[in-house]
Amino acid sequence: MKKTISFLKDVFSAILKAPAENAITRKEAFDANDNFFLLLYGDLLGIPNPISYYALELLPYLAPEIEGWERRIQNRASVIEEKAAQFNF
Amino acid sequence: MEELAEKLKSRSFVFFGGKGGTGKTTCAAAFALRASRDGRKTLIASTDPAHSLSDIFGVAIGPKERPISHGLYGIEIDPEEEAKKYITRVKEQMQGVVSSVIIQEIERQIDAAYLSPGSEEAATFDKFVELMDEAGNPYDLIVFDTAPTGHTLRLLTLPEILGAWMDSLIARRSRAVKLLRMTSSGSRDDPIIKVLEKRKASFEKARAILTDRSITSFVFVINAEKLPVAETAKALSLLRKYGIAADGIVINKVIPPEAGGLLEKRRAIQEKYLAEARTKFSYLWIAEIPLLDSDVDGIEGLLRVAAFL
Repeated sequence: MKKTISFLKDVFSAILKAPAENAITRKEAFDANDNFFLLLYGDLLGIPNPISYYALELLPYLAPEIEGWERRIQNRASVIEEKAAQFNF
Repeated sequence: MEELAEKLKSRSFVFFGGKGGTGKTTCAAAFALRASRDGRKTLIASTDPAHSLSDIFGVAIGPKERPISHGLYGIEIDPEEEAKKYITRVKEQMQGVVSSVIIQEIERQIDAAYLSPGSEEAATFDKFVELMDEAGNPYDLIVFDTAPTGHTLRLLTLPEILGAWMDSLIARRSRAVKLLRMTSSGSRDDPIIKVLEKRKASFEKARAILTDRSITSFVFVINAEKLPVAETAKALSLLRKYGIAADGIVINKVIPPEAGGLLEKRRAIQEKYLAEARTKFSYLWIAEIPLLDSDVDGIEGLLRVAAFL
């Protein structure tokens, strides 16, 4: 009986917590991808980049993501907001 | 003096480098010509943006391989041409993949990257990797007539530097993809990582070829003067740092003792640097070419030089 209750407790808490954890993981994923973009297309922001020539061949695949990234990264307020949201202020 | 050419007989790729004006192109051309006369199918490729192969052979050599003489072919790598081909390829890949708004965005990007520093080098580098790729390489020997030292060093160390960038990019992207997959909204096969890994593999291949002493050799052309000797010593130690070893030195335009007159004084000065070069580079195979009484021009002139290699 005790075992069953503890099991149900685990299940319910997992269900309740999942969306929040999922959101954090998503944020982390986007963050990691932003860093990737910064390395790849940093020259758009004025950071010298030795591989900008080779970054070209990725464009056909990355095009859908790049627009949003550029907008986000150029907007200081949104960058700070996003960071803040990550820490649940 | 016939040692250098003899010793490099088994190599598939020989690079000629050195300070500007020392006679790199002449020596590279003479070496290639001699190999072709020995019955090896030879290509001479210029990676110097200021090409002079056409001038020395007296025939127009362009960005496409063409025959020069029996068993000898030439190419002058044009970075602009190579960059255009690459960009056309990217544009073809783009067809039907994305919306027209995004295509505009990409056109803007392409123009920016086209003008960015390093693009010319990257384009030249890609072509020379393509030439060395064993699968499609019909030549027994490829001789590279390279640009002056600084330019060439950057070109040769490119795979090392860019390889590190690729590693870092792949690691970051993999992390992002992995995290997204945990939220079950990411896909399993990321085309980006595939493209990056392919690029990385081509850098690794180039590095493997450049550092393999059994197939690749570097020969520096110097004059018996202060600056070429000093610069070459520096270049050699930098290359060694990247795992690339040189095999030969050609001391070009050595004033012969019988010169006399005005040249006698120059010869006395030269003697000092000649001795310095001989000791400094004693671990390499050295060839010496005397200052000739006529300009080196065309096949006949080159054969005269080749006899000293």
